[in-house]
Amino acid sequence: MNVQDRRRILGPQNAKPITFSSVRSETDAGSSTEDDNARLVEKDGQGSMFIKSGLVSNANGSSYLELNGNSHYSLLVTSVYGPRPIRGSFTSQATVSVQFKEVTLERWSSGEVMEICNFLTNVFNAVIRLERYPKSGIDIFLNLIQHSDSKKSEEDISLVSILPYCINGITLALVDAGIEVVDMVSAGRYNRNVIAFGKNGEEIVGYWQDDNEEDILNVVQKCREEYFKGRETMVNYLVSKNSDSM
Amino acid sequence: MVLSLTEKSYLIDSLSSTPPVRSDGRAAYQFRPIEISTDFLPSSNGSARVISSDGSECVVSIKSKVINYTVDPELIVVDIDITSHRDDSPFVRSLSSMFGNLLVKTLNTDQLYLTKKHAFKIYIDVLVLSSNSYPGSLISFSIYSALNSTFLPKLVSSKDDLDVEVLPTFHDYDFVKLQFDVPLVFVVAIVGDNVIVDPSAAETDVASNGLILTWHNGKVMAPIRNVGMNNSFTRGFSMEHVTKAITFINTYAPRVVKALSV
Repeated sequence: MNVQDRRRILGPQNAKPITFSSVRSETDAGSSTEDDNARLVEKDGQGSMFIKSGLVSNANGSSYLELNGNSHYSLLVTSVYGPRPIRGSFTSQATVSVQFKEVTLERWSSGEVMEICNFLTNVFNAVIRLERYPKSGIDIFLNLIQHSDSKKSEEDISLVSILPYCINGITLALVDAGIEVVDMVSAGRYNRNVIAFGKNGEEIVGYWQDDNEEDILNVVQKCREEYFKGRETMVNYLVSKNSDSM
Repeated sequence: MVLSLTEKSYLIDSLSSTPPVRSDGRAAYQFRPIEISTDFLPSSNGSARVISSDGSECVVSIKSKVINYTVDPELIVVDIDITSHRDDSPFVRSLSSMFGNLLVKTLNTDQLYLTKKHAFKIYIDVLVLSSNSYPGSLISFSIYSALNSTFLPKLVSSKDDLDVEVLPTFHDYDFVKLQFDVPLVFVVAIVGDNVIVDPSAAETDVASNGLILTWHNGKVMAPIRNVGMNNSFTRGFSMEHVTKAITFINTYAPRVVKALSV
């Protein structure tokens, strides 16, 4: 007797079970391409910076930074969405928004985070060629996956110490998204002072001083040295990445 | 104020010339006249109202509460409210975070401690009723005037309450003046090669960048940071601008302090 199963919703008659392709070959291929695409770009006494861009597939541009210093270790993912159309009235140029989120912990007060976001928005308002993108919005999301410092206690870690990484990360993500920028900006930090430069260190696009310093020019010099180093690293990465794809 | 592109370009040219020609005839270092009234809120410990010549107005009220500081160690709370801006907008949040951190860091809270358990907690509530330009200096001047006119009740009970469970009692009409060395925040705008203090609404609209500087203990101190004044003309600046701004504030801040202390 042919009894139909009425208790379950059955699939179509010609349904086949899904089969997964061999996982092993996938990972093997993945590891070999990883060696090609990602490289440890900078390695000196100061620490290393590992860069990879285009990891977030649904974003227009993204960057992944792994920063390994003498005592600290940070992972930062930046994604850029845009230029995408905005609703509402006509605007003659793009509007930039920056949002920062610490994925694993919430160490800093939302006010401080907002201050940093506001600062970064100001910096990139001066860097992105906004007039090229009328009626659009550029949304930048920073996700800090990890930030630890073996020399400092959890409370002492200031948000300012990751500010230069945020600036580097956003610059790389903007380049990955193909958004026009005035220059490759990068920033340097000295104590709790961060200065972001452009135009070969001639122009300051971001100035954040939280420590009282007697000699400001010395601070600027220290930050500028870091700027040159950071910019060189990013340019090297971009050049090698492009030469691979050609 | 909405200016046309032509008007803005004219303004940029005149502000970039040496010396800068400002639309209200001020010199680069000159502030707009302000009107201050203090101690006008009867239910607050201290209050101030600052009105700028362009109609910007800011009211600050200082209120105090006796708390057990072993439970709540935070003795200074700053809250900023700006009309026509949402409370959770980045602009308002970052301003209140900046002022909060600055005041917590610089004000000497020793005089707020009453006994071995109790202390005054100071609430600084800032209300910007109308502002046409960046309200940093306006808020700072108001907080300065309000804190300098704040009187707290005088303690008459014992200062040692570690062993005895006793609440602090205060004198019926005697007050003690709060002695704070309050920092001042100055806003300068950068246009061309020039640095101008206390930018007006029109100058804010065309400035290529702005700097916030803090004045405390007779010198320019951190935090110093740049802040975008508008979205359309924001550009980078040079180190000369920063040093120029610091020299300006170092030269003219003592006069502002003098004017505010009268």
